[in-house]
Amino acid sequence: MGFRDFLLVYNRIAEYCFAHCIENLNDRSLSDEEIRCVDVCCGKQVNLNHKLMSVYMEEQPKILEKRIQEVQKLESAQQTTT
Amino acid sequence: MRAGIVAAGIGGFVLAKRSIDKKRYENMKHREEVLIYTDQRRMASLPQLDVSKLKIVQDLEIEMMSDMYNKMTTACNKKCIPSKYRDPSLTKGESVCLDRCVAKYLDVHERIGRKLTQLSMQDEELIKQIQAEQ
Repeated sequence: MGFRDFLLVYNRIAEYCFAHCIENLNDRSLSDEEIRCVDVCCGKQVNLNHKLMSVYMEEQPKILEKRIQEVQKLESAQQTTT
Repeated sequence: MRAGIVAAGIGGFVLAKRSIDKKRYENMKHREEVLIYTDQRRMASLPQLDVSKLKIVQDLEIEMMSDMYNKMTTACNKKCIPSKYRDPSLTKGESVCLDRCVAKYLDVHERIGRKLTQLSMQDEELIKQIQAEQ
């Protein structure tokens, strides 16, 4: 299942870097500058992904706990009214 | 006299078209062979999997190919076809642009795949080193 996510991210990176780097379609093969741009873009997207994942792992438990506390408050409020 | 010139013209055209078609067919055959060869090499490089896993991998590959195809369609649509048009048929410029767009997209896709496997192998080596040190 993790491999499937990896492949989806791969396709997304390919789409993004294509749109970002390929400006004109005057030739069938990639120019050296386009190749360099694609390499840089790919590395950048991978680092972006790593960073996002690490920050998300930090923040998500906090949000989950807040939500659990809210639900618990609602439940205790309902119990006092009934 | 004129009929002769016309006949020669038409004959020359027919011969030229035949040779061009023959060349295109040979190119297509060659591309098919290369495709089959690279596909075989890719399947051979995979670690030996049992039948059930192989089917999963194949299904996954088909799904990813169709996802890539859809993304490529939208990307090339954006790059090649202007937002305002009146005629449904493709102009010659648009066809040529689409041809090049697909070639470039597939090239980019392949390069990024190679780079990602390279990066993930580097990551694996780092993790192994860290584990070995511990």
